[in-house]
Amino acid sequence: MPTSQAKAKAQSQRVHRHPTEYSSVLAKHGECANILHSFATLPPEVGYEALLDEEKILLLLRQHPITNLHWMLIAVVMLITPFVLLPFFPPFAMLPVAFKFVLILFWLLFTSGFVLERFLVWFYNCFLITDERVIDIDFFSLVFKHSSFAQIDKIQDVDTQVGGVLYSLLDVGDVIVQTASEIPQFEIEKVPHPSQVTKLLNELMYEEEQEKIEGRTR
Amino acid sequence: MNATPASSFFTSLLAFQPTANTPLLILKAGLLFAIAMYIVFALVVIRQIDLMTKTVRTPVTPVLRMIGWAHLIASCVVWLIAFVML
Repeated sequence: MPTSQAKAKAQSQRVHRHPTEYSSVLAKHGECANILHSFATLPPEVGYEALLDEEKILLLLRQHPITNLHWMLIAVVMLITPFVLLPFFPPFAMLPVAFKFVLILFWLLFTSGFVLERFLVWFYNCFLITDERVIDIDFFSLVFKHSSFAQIDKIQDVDTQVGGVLYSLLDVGDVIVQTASEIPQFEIEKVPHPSQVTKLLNELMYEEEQEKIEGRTR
Repeated sequence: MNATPASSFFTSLLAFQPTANTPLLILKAGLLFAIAMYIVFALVVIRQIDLMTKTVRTPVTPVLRMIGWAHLIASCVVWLIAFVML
């Protein structure tokens, strides 16, 4: 005789299909275990603080790595400055060795802090698409965060914008999601494969409709 | 009447005569203050990492926390080096 847990599991499997069964995007890309990827489908071991029971993260999106290029170049210039540029700066050359040493140490520490800060902002400003909703997570300055979400069935329209030579070559663009929820518009900027994101959202919207028609809603 | 520590401090400040080392002393004080401010920033970064890792859980959470603490410890070490060497 099946236990209540087994019954619940069987019920859940009947109600919800596996995402790869209804999404060609997820079936094509499969599970992406690389956590640094900016287009991570079915990311394992990734969670969100307000994820509902049985809700699955289908896609984790963050800005394309090319958007990090400008601060990486700044970091490289900062890194080489004390060794290449400062020796030619007369006031610095006049300082005692101990002062030069401490100033260089502090500068390198400052550079490492800059890199850490920029990386954290890129890594954690992400957009999650689950089988139930879309979640936008933004961190402003150092300690402020803003999370907003919309149910998949509240999505009304999905637009894609790709502009610029470099972004066209790398398949990077913006996805604009219009919703009927409290947040009328979500803008996902400079993400890889925007057309795939749009396709996935359309597939999810279609699946939500199917669930309603077939009475498979939770 | 004995002078209080505060009044002694202000008296010594008023009696201060600039010497050839004065610019270096000012630079030292400025550096120590700047590094101390940086330590506060490193503490805020740890708070930020904590907030971010609680919001989105990933397998790299322990690594990022460790980097944050290493950054704070490095800041304190630089402040100590500055205090001892300058």
